[in-house]
Amino acid sequence: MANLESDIIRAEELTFEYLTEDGGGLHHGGRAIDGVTFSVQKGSFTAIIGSNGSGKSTLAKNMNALLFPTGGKLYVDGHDTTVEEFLWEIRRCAAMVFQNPDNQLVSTIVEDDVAFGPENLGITPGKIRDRVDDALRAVGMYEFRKKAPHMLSGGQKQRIAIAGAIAMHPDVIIMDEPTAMLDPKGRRAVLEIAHTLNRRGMTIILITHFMEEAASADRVIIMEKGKIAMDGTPSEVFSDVERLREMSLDIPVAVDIAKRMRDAGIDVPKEIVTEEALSDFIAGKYDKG
Amino acid sequence: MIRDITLGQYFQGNSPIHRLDPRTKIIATILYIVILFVAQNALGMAIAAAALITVVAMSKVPVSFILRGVKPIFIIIIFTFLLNLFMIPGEPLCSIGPLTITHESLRRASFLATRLILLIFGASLLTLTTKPIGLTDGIEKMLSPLRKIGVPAHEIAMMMTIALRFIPTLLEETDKIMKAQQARGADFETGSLLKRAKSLIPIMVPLFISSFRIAQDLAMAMEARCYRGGEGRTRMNAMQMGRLDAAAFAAQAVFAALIIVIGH
Repeated sequence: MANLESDIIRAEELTFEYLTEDGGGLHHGGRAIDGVTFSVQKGSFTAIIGSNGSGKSTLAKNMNALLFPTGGKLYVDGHDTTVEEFLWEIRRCAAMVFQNPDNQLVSTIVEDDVAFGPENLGITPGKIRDRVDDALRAVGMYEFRKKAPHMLSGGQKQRIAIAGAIAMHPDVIIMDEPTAMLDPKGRRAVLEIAHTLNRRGMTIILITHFMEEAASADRVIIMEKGKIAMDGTPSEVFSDVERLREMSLDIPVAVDIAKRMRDAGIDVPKEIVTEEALSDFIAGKYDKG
Repeated sequence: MIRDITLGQYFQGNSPIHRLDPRTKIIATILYIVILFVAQNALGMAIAAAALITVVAMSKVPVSFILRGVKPIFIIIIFTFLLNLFMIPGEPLCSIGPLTITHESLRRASFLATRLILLIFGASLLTLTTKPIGLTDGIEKMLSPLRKIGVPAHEIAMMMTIALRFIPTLLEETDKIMKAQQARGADFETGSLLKRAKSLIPIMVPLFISSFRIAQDLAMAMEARCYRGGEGRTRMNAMQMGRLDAAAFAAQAVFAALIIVIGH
């Protein structure tokens, strides 16, 4: 069993059911999350992947207490998310970054937007200023602090959104498909920042449908129809290529190439799932001659 | 192209006028408008005009920039001027056909036109030298005493901020929808006015729907960042009136006294 002290998020038989409304009244819209049990350790980098409708976004919103479990329990930093007195503490502790870079920025000036969260927490002005400056530096957007968000690119806006999350001084940042609407350049920058934050000790939960992004995490959870289909290190999860295909998920390019190389008789270790690792392996193998 | 629009008509600068507290400028603008209607003779008007010219010079906002902003309103001023010129009865001065200009009407019409011009210049100077966010913050602070009688000061200011923030986003959205409709053969440029107005409906409907979607996303993002209304909320840039604001108030008092004594 996992050590409860070091778990930042713990789900026990977590279930979430959407209610849909039509002329006849409220109906159960099916279970978006169906009896899921898992925990996320402090300081880890977890990727959650799954096809559309697998419940991964709903899971993220449950972790920030934007949605509440309809069954089972979800604990954020030991607090039950359904207990109202912990609501604001949970939202501070588990900061969110959403998919659409435009629809999550509130203010007309970058630094004011980053200040929005700390302002809501009622922190003194001087301390907000420090947090905002630190957060903007952490995402490399300090020079843009006086700009209007609509003058920035999608990737830059998403970095501001991450700065807004950092400024809340959370224990975990949950990113709900933060790169889905970005160009490759913006996508790389956002992923880079997520990893930099993680190296500095921040727990990251990255929800994504890009397999390459998931391959760079410590742990990958694959959701399918509201349940956890696979859970393990990237090399464990991505080694089962057949299973991934069954769930109509893509396979990371590196994993695909490694598999073809293995089929061709080259002994590529199973741990190799990222492009960097694969290119290092190939370079190392053929340099030696 | 649509990304380059300026919000409001703020003119970037660091003049003493720019540095004044937004509240000082809002109060000064209101006072100036009131004083314009207190001034009743040519000398009063001249003082009011001189005061405004001084402030414009201090703000370093180019006059052409101000003129550009107020151009559309000149038609209304000319119209009001003519209406007053021919409609006010009194001692006849001269007549053009059936229309008669009187001493009384010439005086009243020119005063009114001067007043309107000064009023528009004064008011636009406020938005030219104050960032939109400063204006909304100032309005929030000034309305906050009225919270006791149920005026939702924080909510009004937050609504204005969000509106300002999302004007460019909605413009982009409109652009996108228009292009999508044009790609499928929609025509927005030709035909009668009625036909063109009708062709806007396929833009308005999706725009409306998408603005609801944006509102929903934004509300969720705000809640995720612990937003729970104005209660217990602090601000990073707490507004503070300084020596500059004291000087501005003193200048206003002198100006008001001058108008009341000489120009009334």
